[in-house]
Amino acid sequence: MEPMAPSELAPDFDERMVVEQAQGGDQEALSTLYTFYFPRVYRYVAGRVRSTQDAEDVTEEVFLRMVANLKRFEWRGLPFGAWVFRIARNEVVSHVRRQRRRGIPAPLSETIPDDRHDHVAEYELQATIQVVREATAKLPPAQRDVISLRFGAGLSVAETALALGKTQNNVKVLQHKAIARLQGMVAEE
Amino acid sequence: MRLPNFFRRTPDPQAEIFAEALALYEEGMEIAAILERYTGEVQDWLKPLLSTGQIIGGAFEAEEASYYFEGALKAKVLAAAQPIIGGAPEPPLPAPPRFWAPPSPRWRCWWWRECWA
Repeated sequence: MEPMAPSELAPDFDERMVVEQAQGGDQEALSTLYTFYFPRVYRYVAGRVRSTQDAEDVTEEVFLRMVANLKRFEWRGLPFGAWVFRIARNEVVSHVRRQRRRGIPAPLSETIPDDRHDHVAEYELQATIQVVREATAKLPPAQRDVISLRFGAGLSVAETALALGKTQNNVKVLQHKAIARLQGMVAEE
Repeated sequence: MRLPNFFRRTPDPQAEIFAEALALYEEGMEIAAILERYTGEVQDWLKPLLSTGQIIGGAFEAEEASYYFEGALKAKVLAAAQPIIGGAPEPPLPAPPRFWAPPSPRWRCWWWRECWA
């Protein structure tokens, strides 16, 4: 067994206790879990879908599903975070399938000009985000999953392996292949 | 005696080195300092991969959800949780009175009139 890297999946609070409290109906515990997982899940989802609107829709589905199934979660060797990211992955897959069936609409502009910001820097950042989004969209699903979990959710190789049910070696290979591919695509832009 | 696992896949050496270098970068080490740990041949292919990783990481990092969305979803999640896992108890109602309320002055007037008129 390979050693576990310092964990993004293990927060600085006693997760087991907080999860059990949330399962018992403690709203504050549930709020703690939400605050910890929201940015990670959102960034993971944003890396897998086409627009901010889609990212928001899927993130909402993930958390509502998490709450609906929270009572059924049991500590059986799988960390709570891995369980959350499995839900997120399933929701992303369902969303992509639904979109394929419907046909994908062209994304609308999502930025509203704001005088308080540096427009050039903001534009460059948005352009980079767009390039990365389009480039990751061209990766095979397994590589996209690894990139979104590693860079979006900030999980380590070990945690990504747990969340995806793959070996660490497999994750390392997928990560390497994905970055090598993205290198060409991002450089072209 | 432990038998060797013939079916266990070993990663490509480049994938292994890249994973190690990326983990160092994620721990806060500068790319130049990471590259110094490897031979020139490795540096040649590792440097562009780490730079790409840096761009990808930066783009993901910048992709923040709106504050409004985060707050609105939190309220929705907490509300959805209430019927499923229970939640904050209902605010307590005032306790019912233990004793009879004193007779109203009007009733008292009527009673006195009956007795003493």
